[in-house]
Amino acid sequence: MIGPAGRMALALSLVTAVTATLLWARVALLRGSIGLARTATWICLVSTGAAGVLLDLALVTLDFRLRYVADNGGRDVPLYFRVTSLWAALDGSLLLWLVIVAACSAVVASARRRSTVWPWAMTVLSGVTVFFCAVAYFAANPFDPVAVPPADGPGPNPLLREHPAMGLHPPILYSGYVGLVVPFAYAVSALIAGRADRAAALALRRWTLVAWTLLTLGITLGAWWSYAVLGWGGYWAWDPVENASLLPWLTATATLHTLLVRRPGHPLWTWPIVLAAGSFLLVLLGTFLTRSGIVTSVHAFTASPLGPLLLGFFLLATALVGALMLWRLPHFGDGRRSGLGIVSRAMALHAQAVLMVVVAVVVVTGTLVPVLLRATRSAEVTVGPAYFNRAAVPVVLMAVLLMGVAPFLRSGRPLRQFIPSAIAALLTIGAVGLLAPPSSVLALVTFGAAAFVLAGLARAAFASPRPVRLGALVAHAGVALLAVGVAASSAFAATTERRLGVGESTDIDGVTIQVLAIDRKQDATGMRVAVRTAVTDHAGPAVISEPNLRYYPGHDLTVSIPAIRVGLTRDIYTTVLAVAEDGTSATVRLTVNPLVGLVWVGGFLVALGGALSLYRRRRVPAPAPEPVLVNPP
Amino acid sequence: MTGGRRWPLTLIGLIAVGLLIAAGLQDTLTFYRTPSETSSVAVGDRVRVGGTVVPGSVVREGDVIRFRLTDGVRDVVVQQRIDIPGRLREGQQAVVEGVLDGRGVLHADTVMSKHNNTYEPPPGGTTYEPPPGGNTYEPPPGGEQPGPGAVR
Repeated sequence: MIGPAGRMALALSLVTAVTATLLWARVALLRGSIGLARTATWICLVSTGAAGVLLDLALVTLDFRLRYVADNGGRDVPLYFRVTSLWAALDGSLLLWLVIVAACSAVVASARRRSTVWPWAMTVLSGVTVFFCAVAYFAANPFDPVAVPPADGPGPNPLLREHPAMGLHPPILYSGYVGLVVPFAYAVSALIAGRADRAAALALRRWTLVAWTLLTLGITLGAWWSYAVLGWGGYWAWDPVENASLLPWLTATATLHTLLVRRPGHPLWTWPIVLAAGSFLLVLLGTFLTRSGIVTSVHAFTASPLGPLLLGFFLLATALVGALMLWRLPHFGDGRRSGLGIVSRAMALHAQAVLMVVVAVVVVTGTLVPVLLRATRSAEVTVGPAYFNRAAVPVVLMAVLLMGVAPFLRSGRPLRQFIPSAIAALLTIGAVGLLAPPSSVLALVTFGAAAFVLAGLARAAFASPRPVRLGALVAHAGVALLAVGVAASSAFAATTERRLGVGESTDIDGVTIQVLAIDRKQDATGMRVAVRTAVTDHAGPAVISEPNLRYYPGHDLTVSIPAIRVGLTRDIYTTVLAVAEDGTSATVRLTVNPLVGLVWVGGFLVALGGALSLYRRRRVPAPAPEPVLVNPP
Repeated sequence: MTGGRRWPLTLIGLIAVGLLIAAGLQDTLTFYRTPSETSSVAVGDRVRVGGTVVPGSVVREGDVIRFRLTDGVRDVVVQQRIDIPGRLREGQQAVVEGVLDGRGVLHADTVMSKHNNTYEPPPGGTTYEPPPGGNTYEPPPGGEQPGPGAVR
């Protein structure tokens, strides 16, 4: 029963989405009934939500008649991971995509304070919903039946059933990623109408902030998960799919900063419109890269017929938005009354946006070069992390330095203000350089830059009146801590890989690891090899640490699950890379990661900063709702 | 800064970004080669090589493992420190990444399993076998395999 019901729910979603698009266009053009259009949007949300619930029901009750359940269900899968299997593979994850778009549309449709371009924004949102309904119904329908239902399935990918973060990272990341559709809708609606008002600017800011906060949280959770579950020891690999989530984050960050050039409540102008529209186009590009099988990655799902469809939609959207910009952008000003001073807050905010866009251009180039070279059949290449470290990291450092300068640009005497921060930076560089010289100059500069920012923020926090809002203060401190964590864990990490028999030991950086036992267990899902080790940090007491190697025959996949001893200043990270066939020895990797915890702490602080900005902004008294036309056409 | 002075600045900015990207891409691209093509690869360049593991060629000496990859025309000797279980099977496809030395030996640090590489997509997708007593259900090609692209 679930199959036909699910297919019907998706069909209803598609029909209501098309209806809603037409009704909202009618509202925009002919001032038709808002209530009717809003009802269609809500029915669309209810039916897509029902489709999601039905698919999860099928996964929980193991209705193997559905292809999606036959592919991703399994009798041995615990309830929690049966529920999360909804987003463990292609079709289900696209359904989640659709549910989030539909939910965003319904929330925007119920907005109380409405912009004059709101009906157009709703038309754009409904149009995007139509496309993803069509994808879910025609191209990646998770309710498609199988001819002969199996008795049992292989379960979701083993990597996706090893850690409870599976219930958090994908939905949060998706919400942020897909939520950028709302700022996009407002930007495009402003372009269609050739004007924008304060309500549109406020809605664009609030939704960008919500999506950006969730995206930050999702990316941080993903980095932590990658570190804790995938036993390769790192948290960021410049993997195409990681890049796909980073790109809209960069442009959304730029959007938020350009919005600060004018006081909140000012009508929209060129920069935020271009950046907000571009952010969602990058989301569409990322969806194409992730969901078409064109890139090889931890997160990418295998080849599917969706590729041309998603690429087509991305190109169509880009062409339409590009044409709208050529036509309408000259109507919008640059948001300033006078020219930019070289040393001014507005200049710093613009420079920040430019740097974020430059990083995005560097990252998108590195991600697309292999795809384009393969598409033109000229060469098979991969772009390694070295490219991103060399081309993107220096630009990021410039942005960090700018972050240390920016808080003081409002007060009259900027240059003298930086002396304490500069002293803190030089002291840090001197101390680190003398006591523990890192392997790269870039790391040393990063420590200095972070000290520069943190010293400035500390002074700003106690200044009266405070030159920075609380949210920005917290987010900027988070970025500085994140930079320290990244630089320290990459410059000072020490790794050794040894093949050890039972009783043998190896050591690095004062940490000794001794193999105590190698246990092999066979269970229903596959084979597990647990290597019991004793880890001694300097002369401290030995602690038992048990990294695992699991083999899943259902997927022909071996997963190495690390054992991590989390410390305040450093993590001791052990993984099993291989076990000898006779079980007498194991190849063990021991890594000491200093200050890696600051990466997650920093990331969560950045997200917290976003949430605080959201909370504070809501309490600012609302400006008068009447529309203000900017250079009406 | 007025509108009239903006375009030279934009131009300089675009050139700077172009240079940044060009400099970044210098020596950071890893090309994919067949064993036959490795003769044209310069010593010390990072390269990715895919081929069949020659049966009987796998030799383990302590922490080091040595084997030959072939494309049916030429072989290349691969040497690596770490053996990843299930990634290297004699007679099966493998993709390795590393640096060639002067004697034509590839010192690999990364091994990619066959079913995850996109260079030569396997026809079957998964090797899932139904449990005993099950029926003849076979998952569709390329059903559900977001495995790690590489073991790092």
